[in-house]
Amino acid sequence: MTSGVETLRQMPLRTKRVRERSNRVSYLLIAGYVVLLLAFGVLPTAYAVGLAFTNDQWQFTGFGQFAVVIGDFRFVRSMLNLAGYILIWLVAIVVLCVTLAVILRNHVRGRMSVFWRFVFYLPGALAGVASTVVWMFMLSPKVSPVAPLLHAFGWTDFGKLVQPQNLPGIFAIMAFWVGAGGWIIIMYGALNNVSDDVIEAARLDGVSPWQMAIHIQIPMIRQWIVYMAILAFAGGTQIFVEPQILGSASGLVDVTWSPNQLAYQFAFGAMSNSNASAALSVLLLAVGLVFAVILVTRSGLFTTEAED
Amino acid sequence: MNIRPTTRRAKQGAVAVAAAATMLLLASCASAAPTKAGDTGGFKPVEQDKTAALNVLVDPTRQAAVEAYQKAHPDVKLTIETFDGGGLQTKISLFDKSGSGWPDVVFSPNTADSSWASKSTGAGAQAYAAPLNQGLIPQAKLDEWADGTLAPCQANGNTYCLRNDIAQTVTWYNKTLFDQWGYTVPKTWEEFEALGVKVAKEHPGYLIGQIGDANALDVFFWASRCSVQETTDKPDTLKINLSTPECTKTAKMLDNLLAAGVVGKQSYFEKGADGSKMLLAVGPSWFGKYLFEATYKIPAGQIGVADQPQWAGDSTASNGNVGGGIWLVSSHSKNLAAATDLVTWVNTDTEFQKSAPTYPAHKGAAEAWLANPDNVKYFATDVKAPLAKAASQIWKGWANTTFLDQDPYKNVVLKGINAGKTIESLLGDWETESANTAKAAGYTVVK
Repeated sequence: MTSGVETLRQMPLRTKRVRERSNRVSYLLIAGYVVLLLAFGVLPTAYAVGLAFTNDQWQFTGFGQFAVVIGDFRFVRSMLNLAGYILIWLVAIVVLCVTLAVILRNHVRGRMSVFWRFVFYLPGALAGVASTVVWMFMLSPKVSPVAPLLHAFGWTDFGKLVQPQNLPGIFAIMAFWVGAGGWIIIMYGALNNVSDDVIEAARLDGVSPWQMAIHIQIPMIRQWIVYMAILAFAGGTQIFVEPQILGSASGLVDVTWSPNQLAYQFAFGAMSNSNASAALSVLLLAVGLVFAVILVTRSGLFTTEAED
Repeated sequence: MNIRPTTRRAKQGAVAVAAAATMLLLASCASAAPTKAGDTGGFKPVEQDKTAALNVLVDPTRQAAVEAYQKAHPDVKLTIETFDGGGLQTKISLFDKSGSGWPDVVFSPNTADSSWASKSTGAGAQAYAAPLNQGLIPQAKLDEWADGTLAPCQANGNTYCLRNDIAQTVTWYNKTLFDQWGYTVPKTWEEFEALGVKVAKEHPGYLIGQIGDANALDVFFWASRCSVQETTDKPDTLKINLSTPECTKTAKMLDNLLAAGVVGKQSYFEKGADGSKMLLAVGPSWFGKYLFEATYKIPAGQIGVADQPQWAGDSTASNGNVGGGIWLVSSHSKNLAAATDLVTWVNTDTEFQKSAPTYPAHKGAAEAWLANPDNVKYFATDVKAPLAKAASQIWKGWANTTFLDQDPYKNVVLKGINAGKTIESLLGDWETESANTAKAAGYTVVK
């Protein structure tokens, strides 16, 4: 950064003024976002942290609320559910999105490529609740258009399908279907950034398409993949709508299936303890942050070439 | 490895944070539990204004009731807001936090809502529901409700709501098929089981019940007086014991019928269910119109009603109950007189209640409802006697709790039977889950 400041000093006065004015304009432009971020992002988070360490009289309770949450008989259960779901969801989104993006980039050209990117993105336009309802229809053995396939697995009625061991997979499919399209397009964009010279050089060296993907393209978009993993993980820990809707429709999904649902029950269910609910939310935030920190430090996501 | 200065700083920071956290942990801390336990008294009305407008929150089905009241009382200022009937506790606790905005009158389709509404949601907030017996509605008026129907509204000697409708369980059966096959309607649960075994042999594919939704819990286990969540003399103590004979004999009966294939593992309202195969269903008073007529589309004149079966040799008859709605008046209302008048009218006005969608809890209203041909002409037999009898026999031992009785049942029993286990083998796990759920909600559990 020092080199940047030096250049600024050396600049003629007029250019400096222009730079300052454009700075003011950019502050104005981001101000709207910052205000909303403070009101709906930072303040609620600070409020949640405040709630997590106090009781309903705002008396300090230390880690008392965290002890309440962790000691609850549903805590471990919902965390295990979440772990199963995130594992499937992360592997699916990383492997399938990158694979599809590579295939799209290397083997589909022109209008077909535009068409497929549009098709991949389409399900993402459906809101969470609507997509859950669509999947419930798809997964009901009595009315589903793919009923024979469901029957082949022995799922002859909804109850057999909505068994605890199937739920992480079902929710991962629902989430993947909505979320994957956007990531395929982002990965496609990342692959487009890989210099044509590199690809050309590799081709001349007689590299196979498989080697090209594994040894050249994927390593070169590694930071994008890490970025996707961090956001997908953070989004995954927040799973709420899918189990909630499937639960109210089938009656077979625990109302505290995911930690976020448990937090909801803490706040608005029989316990009516919004402080414990906040503690659980803070805990989920911490899990997401730790995962992000590990990935960022391990992959060097934010190291730029200048620092190297 | 080359440790960069930033990493070292981060490490020092982490140590400092950990030290601070430990100190916080060691410092003397206040209790983490919300301050609300047992806080049911202390009803202090706000300053009253006889002309204040009433804000009414109802489900779409009961909007008509409030509109009828408005028509009969044109000078009362009313605003009606509708909601889907769920999440009332969420709404009210948010109003409690903001300290304003409570609706003056609420209709809730869940009797369970009365149990939290009679308590403070914490932080010293006054309990939402006003105790109606404290100078708002005379006891003589409250006595007009059918015996036991106000039980879910009562806590600590106060009455916090008016019961709108009840869902007492009776036997619904396809009289046309019964006559054709020469069957008699079972009077005992033993006969019910024997009928099932017979149907399985003679007419496979026909059903005498479903247990794939929580309706089964409030029918079979409630009617059998199984201590899934039994009331005790203390309001915050529940008796939970699923190894009693009342529970095991019910579980065994259902296991046999499940094995025979005459009781299904689905919900009565499962998409694509074939209602013409439902030979008999023991279920709530609203099954007749909402399940057989509206959902299964069985033509009029085929469905009959009879008393719910009882256990042979049982000295007391007991019926189950599947839900029922309640009317609550806000303790924060500026116009308690008008709010009370509204909830009394919508429950007791016979001219209006005779065409109510479900069986009224108020005795006079129920009589008018049964006398209305629209409510009974669909059926092949007399409706009045079985429904009236069942209304007076609902077992009062099933506690109205802040948690949903269905959740432990769904988590353990429904999951288990769908995985091929028997209900009897699941009773132990069910008891544990129920007890854990009750304790998490602040109840004391005894066996």
